[in-house]
Amino acid sequence: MDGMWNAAFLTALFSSGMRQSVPLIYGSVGDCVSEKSGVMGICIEGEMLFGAFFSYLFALQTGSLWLGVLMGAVSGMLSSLIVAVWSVYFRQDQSIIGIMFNILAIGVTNFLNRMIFGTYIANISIETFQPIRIPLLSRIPILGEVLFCQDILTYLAILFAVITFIVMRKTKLGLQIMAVGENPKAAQASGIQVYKYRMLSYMFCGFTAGIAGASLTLSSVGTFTEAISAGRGFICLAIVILSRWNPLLTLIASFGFGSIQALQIRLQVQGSDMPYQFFVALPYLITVLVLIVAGHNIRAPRELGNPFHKESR
Amino acid sequence: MITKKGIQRIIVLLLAVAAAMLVGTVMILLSGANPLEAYYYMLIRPLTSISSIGEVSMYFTPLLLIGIGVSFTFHAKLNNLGGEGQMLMGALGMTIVGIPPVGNALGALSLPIGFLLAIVFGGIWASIAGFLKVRFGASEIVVTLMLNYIAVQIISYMVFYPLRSGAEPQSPKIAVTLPKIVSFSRINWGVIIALILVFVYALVIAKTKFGFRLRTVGGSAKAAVYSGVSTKKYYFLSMLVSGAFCGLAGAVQISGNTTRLMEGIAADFGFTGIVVAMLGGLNPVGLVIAAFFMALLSAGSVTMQVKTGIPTSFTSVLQALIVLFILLGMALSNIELKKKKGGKA
Repeated sequence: MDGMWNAAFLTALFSSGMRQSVPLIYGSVGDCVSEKSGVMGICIEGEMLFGAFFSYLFALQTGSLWLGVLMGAVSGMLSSLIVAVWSVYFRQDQSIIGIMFNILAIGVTNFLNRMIFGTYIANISIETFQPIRIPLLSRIPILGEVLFCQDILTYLAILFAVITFIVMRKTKLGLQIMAVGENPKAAQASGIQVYKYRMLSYMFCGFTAGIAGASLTLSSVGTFTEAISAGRGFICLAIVILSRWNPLLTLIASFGFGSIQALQIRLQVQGSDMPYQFFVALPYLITVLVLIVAGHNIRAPRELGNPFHKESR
Repeated sequence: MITKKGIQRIIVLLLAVAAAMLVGTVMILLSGANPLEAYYYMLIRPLTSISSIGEVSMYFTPLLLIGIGVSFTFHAKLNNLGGEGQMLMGALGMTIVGIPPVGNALGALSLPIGFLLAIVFGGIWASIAGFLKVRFGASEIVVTLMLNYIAVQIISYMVFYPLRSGAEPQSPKIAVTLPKIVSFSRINWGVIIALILVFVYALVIAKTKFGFRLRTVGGSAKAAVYSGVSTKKYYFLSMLVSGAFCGLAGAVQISGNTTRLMEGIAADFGFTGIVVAMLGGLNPVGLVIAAFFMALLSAGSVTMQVKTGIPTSFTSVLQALIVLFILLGMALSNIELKKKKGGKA
């Protein structure tokens, strides 16, 4: 065991951790925006599944990875419309909607998968996004391999987190979204359409969760398997709490969780005295620990998860 | 006894089921099958013989127990999304006591002791989420979900290593199983136990201080005095009781159905239990009907897949749609009630 913690191992580990973190970054950055507006992202898990399935389907049919990503994002956004209408406009319990939506997503994607691709256990694999080496930077020891030798979706994820951070912190739009989540009554009084902002914030989250799903199928695996999201959507929720609703910090938290995932896979493959089930359970266990440490959080949007009555006074 | 509001609620529930089945019909048509045939295999065929009703009962008992369990937390306006994990831990409790040599030594006693241990295991597993909620403010939604994934791995470990018997990753058979009611069908005494517990649930919620306080905490009982009721205490207790029922579902699953611990024995049960609680409207009679309907869907979907080629995942779609339509119906009927009120004023 001691011999394995050398530079080559760490480089490979963190490089893989970075790749593993990509769906988590997209999911949690989108969730930051949605939660700031007051809508919880329990449905990210399901939106990821829709994104993963439709991105694979379209990439396979058209041969274009980019069209795949786009359709994954669009399917995530369109499916999030259900959640947005049910939770914002009809003001129903967001966690029940979330869980039912996730079941719906598993059902629909499995149904379509069986109907379109038959009952084969493994689907056809497609060519995935390839790593792009950034000149000079990629030659930095360890860091170069980890940060500057990734595929395009990884670079876009980082860029996307930075842009979202700037929009949320420095623009009027960001302030308005925040106002809707903190004090919808005051926001409404000042002329902000609360429903509209919440719906759009949530659909934005669906869009990014769709890209997260696309990154699962088009970045690494190259195929769709049933329930491929495997709880990542829920881990995004913990990442957002840990990052205190700050899109930039989600980069670090996602990288942390991605690395745990990468470590877990490596330890499983290498074989160790610990049963492999322990390593599979590790990310979920750490999520619980994160909630214990960061559960009492004064930075949480005040009206998170609470429906808003337009007519209420 | 049935109020106008009650009738309205029943209508909403029935309409939700109808609407979900209508969407289901479109899906069946798109997949090129005959909807009437598909629904026949799903909803009617399982009821045509006592032995196939026995198959339905295999789903009915655990679903009813989880439905009751989830209802306890719903009364306190909490969400227990961890039914699967709690059921698995309960199954583990039953298995430890039921398999040889302990099971042989205990004989018939292994059933009540196993049930008790299952209740304790399920209760402890759920109360982790309850404790973290009360003590650290950790969202019970995320924690119960995470505990599902962790329980799945614990069970996987158990059947791969310490409890393994033979080549397959599964435990040995338990020594004593739940007795059947009739010899030619799998239906067993678990059904009776679950039905008695529905009665207990009804009494606890309607007649006891615990039930009243639970509803007070959840805001559905009009409490004259709010002071003196510790919200935290009842949050914790509702999770504990909820987990105990889900754990019992695991014990019934082992002792009445699978007879041994395996991976995946609780898959889908946890979330379907939520559907049962929602569709049953937390009402004891409603829970029984809803659990029966969901059991029918689960048992029937297997036959449907074989006969018509429609994948069993179709059931998940129906279940999710039913709850979404119930929520829609409740929202719409609330809006109407509100309008009336506004009109009078």
